[in-house]
Amino acid sequence: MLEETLVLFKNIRNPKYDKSLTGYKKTGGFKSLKKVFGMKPEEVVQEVKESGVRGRGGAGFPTGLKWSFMAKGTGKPSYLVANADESEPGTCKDRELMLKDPHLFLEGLMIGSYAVGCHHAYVYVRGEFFPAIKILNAAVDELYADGLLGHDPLGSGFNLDITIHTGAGAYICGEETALLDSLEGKRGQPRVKPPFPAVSGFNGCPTSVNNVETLACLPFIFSDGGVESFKSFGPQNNSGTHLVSLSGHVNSPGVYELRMDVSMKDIIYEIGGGIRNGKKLKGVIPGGSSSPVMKADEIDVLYNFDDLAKIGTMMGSAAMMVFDEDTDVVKLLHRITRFYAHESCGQCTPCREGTHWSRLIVRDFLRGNGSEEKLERLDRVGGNMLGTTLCALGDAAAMPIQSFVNKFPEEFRNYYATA
Amino acid sequence: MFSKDILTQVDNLLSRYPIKQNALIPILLLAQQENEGWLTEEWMQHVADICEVPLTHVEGVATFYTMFRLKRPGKFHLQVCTCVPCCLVGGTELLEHTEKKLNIHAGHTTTDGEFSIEEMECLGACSFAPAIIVNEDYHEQVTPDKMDKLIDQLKQ
Repeated sequence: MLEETLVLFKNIRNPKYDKSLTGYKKTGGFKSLKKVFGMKPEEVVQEVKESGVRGRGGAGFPTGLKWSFMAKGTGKPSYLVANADESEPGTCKDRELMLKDPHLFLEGLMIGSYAVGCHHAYVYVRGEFFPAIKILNAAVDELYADGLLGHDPLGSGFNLDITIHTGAGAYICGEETALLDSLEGKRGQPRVKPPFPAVSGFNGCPTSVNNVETLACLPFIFSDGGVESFKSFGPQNNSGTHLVSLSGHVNSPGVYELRMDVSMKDIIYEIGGGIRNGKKLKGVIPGGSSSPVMKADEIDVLYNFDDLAKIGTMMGSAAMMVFDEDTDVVKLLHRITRFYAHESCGQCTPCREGTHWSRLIVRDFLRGNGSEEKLERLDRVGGNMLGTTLCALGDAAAMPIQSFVNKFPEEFRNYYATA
Repeated sequence: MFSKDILTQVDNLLSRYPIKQNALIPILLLAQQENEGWLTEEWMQHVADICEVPLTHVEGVATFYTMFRLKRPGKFHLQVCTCVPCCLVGGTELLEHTEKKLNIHAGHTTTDGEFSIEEMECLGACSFAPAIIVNEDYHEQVTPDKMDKLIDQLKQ
């Protein structure tokens, strides 16, 4: 029977765990930070590269490599910003970390700040996460009171402040350059790249934006023997455990911490307890609503970045949405297109128009006005958004459209055959 | 405008950023909280002065983000998620049920000003769907029955 591998959730799964600073220290908290303070920042970056940790926000970009791009000697301050704007449909893992073990994440943020030479780190939390914002603010206050933040924590000679910043509800602000515009007090619209944030980010200064879960991996990586064990949790280039948000028609939805060498089938049937009400599986959206959909016969695959990429989809933020045989796929796609039409920032024409028109075309099918021509047009509208926009939202909107049309064409046809 | 008490919070926020404009969104959220959940031009001007940006900039921000409201919400603002994971397990039906129960459509407020409903995109509580937020509190795995009880409780 497949079980969780507890690294990030080690404390959270302990029912007696006290998430206060005292409680966190009792579990060995801040030992890694102390160790890191004894290293040179370049050594910290090298160690993170060595661990192979890849960004957990969706793109899967190697974290150490991202940090090594940070511009040096610019005379400007460097920043580290934690991306806690969790809003990809299906994803609810960062919220768990922030609510239930805030100091683990904050220790990771402090390690990261030291590595990139940041003296003021920001946590960009989505505005709707009121409870998480309160908990993080209280945790930061504890750190200041304890002397772990502010001037010279642990006699390191390194000064660090952390500010919890509240967003105000916009999916696009999870995109790192939109997030930076939003943090600057503007509308959150993605920027033209290059320059990348590592050169010109927050207020034009070198900035690294990292996901909450990515940062939460750092205390483990810097524990004794951490790098080696971290690498052992998955196949090459897919190291570490990761948090899987399982939702939809499974018996036991939830957030689970798993190795990266387990199969999707086992996650759904063993961890998730199978499909509810004894139904059959129809498909899975494997990595947040932007990832191409998979059919039931495709799930015998290891759930990690590279194995999913090989079969033409993606693990994204590890948000698995499972749907059963009774699900109306056209209605489901309609809901997804509504999401992207609502969340497009409106800056690039292909995405602003494409998300809107694709929503209307899918709605036509629901209203009995579908046709073969419209099915082709839907696929084409999706294709016209791929790679034609400043940020990945255009791709994110296109991938579900094209995959739904290509994998379930008969369901669209049923709509107009019976109309 | 901002009371003395809140102004301390505003000053504290301003001190956390290199430039005043950076604190715009958190301060605008404070303003909205002070004004019973919505923004008026007067309040936006006040925040514009504090952050040293033009009013049009604040209006641009206020109309971009979904959490800023330019219309008074109900005393209890019910935000019902119908996004992908929630709609798979009854979020849409929950929204319809809530609309019927309160006899208003999403985007509207009851005539007594007590309740308003908003249909939401992903709230980030997908493994605990369907999820709703009432003012600042999350409620998870909400059934129509639970919603009825919650509304009845809030009415008292």
